[in-house]
This record gives sequence, structure tokens and C-alpha cells, in this order.
Amino acid sequence: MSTSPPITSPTQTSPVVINKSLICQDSTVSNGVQIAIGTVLHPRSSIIISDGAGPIVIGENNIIEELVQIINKSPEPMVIGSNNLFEVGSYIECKSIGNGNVFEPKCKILKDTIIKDQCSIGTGCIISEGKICENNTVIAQTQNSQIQTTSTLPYDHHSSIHTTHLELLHKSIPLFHTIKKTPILEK
Amino acid sequence: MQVQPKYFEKSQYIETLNGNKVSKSSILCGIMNIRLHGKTIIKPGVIVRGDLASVNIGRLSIISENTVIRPSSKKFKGSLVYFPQNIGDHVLIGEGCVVSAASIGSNVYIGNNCIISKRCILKDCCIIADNTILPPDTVVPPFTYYSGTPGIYKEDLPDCIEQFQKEYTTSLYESFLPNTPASKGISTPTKSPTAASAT
Repeated sequence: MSTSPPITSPTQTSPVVINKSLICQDSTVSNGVQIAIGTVLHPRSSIIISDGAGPIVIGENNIIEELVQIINKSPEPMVIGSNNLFEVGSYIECKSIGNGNVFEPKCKILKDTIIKDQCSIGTGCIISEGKICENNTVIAQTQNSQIQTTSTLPYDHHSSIHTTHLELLHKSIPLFHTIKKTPILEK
Repeated sequence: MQVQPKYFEKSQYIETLNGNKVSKSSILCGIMNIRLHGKTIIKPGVIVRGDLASVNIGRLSIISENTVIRPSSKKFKGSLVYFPQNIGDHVLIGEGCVVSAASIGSNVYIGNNCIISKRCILKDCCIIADNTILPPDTVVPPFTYYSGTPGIYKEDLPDCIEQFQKEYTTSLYESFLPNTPASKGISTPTKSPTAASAT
């Protein structure tokens, strides 16, 4: 009879090796969309290419949440970088997006906009056509106006949790959702 | 206040023993983590993310079209944790909302197109006006009215709001009726003989 309790080794699961993208069955993805490894698409998200429009290229390790619409209507290709977070209900129609950006719920990015690296677009913001957001731009919406500043704080917070967020989603989402089987393109 | 009866297609809804009415075109992820305590209406297009963390929804609550209920997350000991979400009794959530509050009390009214950001706490008996955006970590005290972008305190509410909200959600639930052929026959009487005589 041992006095000491058996040492229950904390179920230290091996670090999740992200080697594929997760696309839930309920999401809509048009033909011609390229999605890199590690990107997570939640249910009811949609990536749509309009008739006659260019392709959409999505980089690694993005999180695209529910009701997000990424639409390409222009004939040029739309390029989205890596490590971006698109929160619930955002609407993206812009030309290009860099790396490490955060799009908060229900923001609207209109056409011909260019968003560079590490920006944060606040909740409910509507970014007008043709705007160019430089690195570390922070935009927030108030009652009647928009506030624009430059800060690295939102990116620091985003980058500190993004990898663990991705690991959590890669662990938990396959348990609850059927994942679309997609052909893997070798480059 | 008399609420007009609203009829729904019986084949489009699932009715449980507790009186929950859940639309078949809503998406409930991780059903084992979602608890509906009875007499709750979930309308079409609603997404409830039970797969991230457990969601509790109280009695006589109504969740309108295209609303997203998703548990909020927090950085905890270096990693990200989703924590359970509680929604109280007699809660009415409008259309097109995004609700990631940590907890919502009882007798709460949330208008259309609101965004309740991460980790907000809504106490009992408060009203959030249409198109309000509550910033993260907001605490809404009892008997208050919040509105605007960002959502701020506007005025106090009278004590009767509790009774009002209880009666309002109860009457909304009771007037949400299945579409029976009998009621259809009464509402659309045949007018073919008069129409023929007029021509």
C-alpha cells in the first residue's frame, strides 16, 4: 500500500504537427482558391471567386471564422499572406493582405484596398475603397468617425496567442466536424 | 401588449420534449456541449459553437436569425483557453448579432446587429440597443441601457423591466406556433366566386 499517490503524468500530448489545412464541410470554397498548409476555415465561412475574376491565394496559418466572406471580383489575383485572423462576419474584397493582420468582427474591407503587415482593423470598421494601410496601422470605429493610429500593441497580443490558438483548433475541430477532403498540390 | 401569432413550417423545426424549438437550418456544433433548459427558440441561420466550449442557454430564451453564439477565449498560463458560456432565462437576442460574452444574466434584451465582444459580462435586466458594439471585457450592470459604438451607459431602467421581459418572452414563445392546415384554411378564404363575378 503505497502512501504516495501514483504520479499521474499530465497527459502531455506531443505538440501538434500542423501538416494540413482544415476546411469544414459547411464552408463554401470556389474552384481556383489556393489554401496553404495550416489554415483553418470554420463552418459557414466562404471564399468566393466571382465569374471571370482572378484566383485567390491564401497563405499559411490563417484562421477564418464563421460568416467571413472573402470575395474576389476583380480580374487580378487576390493575395493573402500568413498568420492572419479573420473574425466572425468580416467581409474582405481587397487586393492584397500581408502577414499577421487581425480583422475584428463585422469589419468591411472594400475593393482595391491594400493592407500591409501587422495591421488591426477594429470591430465594425468600413475601410473605404483604394485605401493603403501601412505596417502596424490600427483602425477603430467610433460613433461617427474612424480613429487611425500606428501601434505594435495589437500585433504583440495577436502573435503571442496565434500559434496556441491554431494548435487548439487543429486538435479540437476534427473531433466535431467533418473535414472536406481536398487534393494537395505539390509545388 | 398583444403579440401577433407567428407561424412556422413544422417540417423546418425540431421540437424537443422540453419545448425547445430548434430550426433545422441552424448549425449547432458539438451538440453534447450545448444545454437548452427548455422552451428556447433557435431560429434559422443561427450558429452555436458548442465545440469550442460548453454553452448553457436558459428557459424561454429566443435567439433570432443569423446570430453567432461563440464562447470567448482568453490567454491563460501561456496558452489559449475557451471557457464556457452561460446565457440566462428570458433572454432575447436579435438578428445578425455576434455574441461572445462570458455570461449573460436573465431578462436581457439584445437588439439587432449587436456585437458583444469577448469576455463581456451582462448582468440581469439590461437592454443593449440595436447596432451596439460592446468592447471586450465590458461589464454591463443590472437595470441599465447601453447603446452606441462603442457601447456606453445611457440611462437607468425601471424595476418593471424584469416583469416586462418575462411576459414578453413568454408571449413570444406562446405565439410561435406550428403551421397547421386548419389555420391556413381560415386565413385564406376562397374568393373565386366574387372574383369571377367582378370580371
